[in-house]
Amino acid sequence: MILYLGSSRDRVFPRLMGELENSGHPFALVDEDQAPKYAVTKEAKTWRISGGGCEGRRPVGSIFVRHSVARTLEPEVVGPMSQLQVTLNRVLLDTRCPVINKPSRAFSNYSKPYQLGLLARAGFDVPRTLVTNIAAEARRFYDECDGSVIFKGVSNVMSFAQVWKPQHFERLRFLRDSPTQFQEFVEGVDYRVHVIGEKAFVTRLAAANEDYRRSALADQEEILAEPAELPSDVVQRAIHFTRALGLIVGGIDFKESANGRLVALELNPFPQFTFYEGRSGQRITRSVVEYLIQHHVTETNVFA
Amino acid sequence: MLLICGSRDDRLVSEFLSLSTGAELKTELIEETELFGSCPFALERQGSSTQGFLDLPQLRVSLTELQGVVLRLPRLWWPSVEFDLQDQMFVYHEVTASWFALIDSLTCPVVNRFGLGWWLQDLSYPLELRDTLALALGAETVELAGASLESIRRWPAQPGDENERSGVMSVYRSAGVTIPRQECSPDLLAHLKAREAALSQWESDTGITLYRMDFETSDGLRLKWVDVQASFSYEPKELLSESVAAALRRMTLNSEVAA
Repeated sequence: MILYLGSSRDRVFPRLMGELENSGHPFALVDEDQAPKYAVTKEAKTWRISGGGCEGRRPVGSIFVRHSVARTLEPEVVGPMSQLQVTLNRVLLDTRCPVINKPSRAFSNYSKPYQLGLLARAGFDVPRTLVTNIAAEARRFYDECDGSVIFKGVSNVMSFAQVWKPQHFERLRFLRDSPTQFQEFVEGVDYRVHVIGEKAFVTRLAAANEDYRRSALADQEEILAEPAELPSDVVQRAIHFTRALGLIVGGIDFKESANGRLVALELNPFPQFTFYEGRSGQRITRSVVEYLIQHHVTETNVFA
Repeated sequence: MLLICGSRDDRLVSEFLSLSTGAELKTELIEETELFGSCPFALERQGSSTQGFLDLPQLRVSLTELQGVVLRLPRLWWPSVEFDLQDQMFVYHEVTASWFALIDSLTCPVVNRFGLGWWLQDLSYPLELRDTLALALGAETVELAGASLESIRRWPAQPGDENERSGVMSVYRSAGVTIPRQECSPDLLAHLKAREAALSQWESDTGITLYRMDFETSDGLRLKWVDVQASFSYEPKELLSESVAAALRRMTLNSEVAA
């Protein structure tokens, strides 16, 4: 049986549930938004999850995880959800079956400059980058990049990349309170490469904004996404990089300039692949479900 | 230069300050609130290479000048409440992610070079360290009661605490040196010696070089816990000095540092 740990409010949820149902393979859901419904117990080395649609006795052969994010700070909501997720993470540490993706392997994009170092060491071209809380250093970087710079968050807390424009100079005074990541601006076409095991889907994106997510999410503008190709060595490196991080699925962002320079920007360990699939028509969700079925194990220590 | 990030009230930090002075190693101490709240820094990456600096009071320190870093952060810092709550959380993560990247970029010894799980205060991190260390040692782990983490040992270790009463044996490691906390069974020490290569590999893989292992030995060798931010509050002075001296020897490329 496939176990799905996630949130019924997540945008991935309806498509993934649809593909699981279409597959005909048995599955069970832990809806973390309904945390009080569930109980997780350990007897000797065996974990049992019960509540909701989980009965605590059906063997789990593969697991898909996209932990729910609390949309409130209310303790009565956050408390049970956190407690459930902590315990589920222990299950995921212990389990012998494939997990897409183990949260303990998915930290690298918490620190984007750190992850950029991993991408560089893996052989990807990466943009010149500065992280600082010193206004004069940011200004020096701006000048050395001939004024072609973007700035964005350092951590994985949601923020949009923005081109540094003249009106942003006065905001440098806030830098001392919060370090920021500055990057040479590579203007060009966006690509997202979704890796699923040994498979990869390349999607080309076009939007009015420098950060296509801003176009789609903040400005409610339509973006164009279509199946595309990248050189096979780049795709293979993306597959190897994802695996080297201990992940099965990853979403790697690239930018290609007009002169053909292809830079890697970051890897998302919990990509919202339905966003791309819905626009490009690529069957990414089906591929995820196929992986879960094909790599399903029979000997397990998790029952749901 | 040795950079110590922590509090002078921490006995381990005090010992680092004392022994590094004796070893004529230039040392700077920065408290957590200053490090995260007000220390200016820059970290720049171009391809695979990085460069940067920290501005300590009256002193700009290039990252290449650092011979060693000691991280003993209590993890209590939080941004100013002058920001609204959403901004406090944003700033907290931006600062944490920045300092993790900066410390990761250092080529000098860092005690301890914690993984992101520690920086994120992820509860799975210590469990994963325990499981992987047990694997390296060829030992079982002590079953934690139920699904909760409440049975895990909390520091500081104290004379006569529950672990000592129940016959748990503790052994420290610092920069590859094994230092028993109390009189240990010869079998345990022989086992650790036989597993030296695997232990060193685990230290290299995890970045953890100063830690305490707690073992139960009544029914075969079983690892109960690994404490990667062990308190030395109640530990004998000799053990403290030996642990610090070993770390300093590695930072100063094995020049003489007397415990």
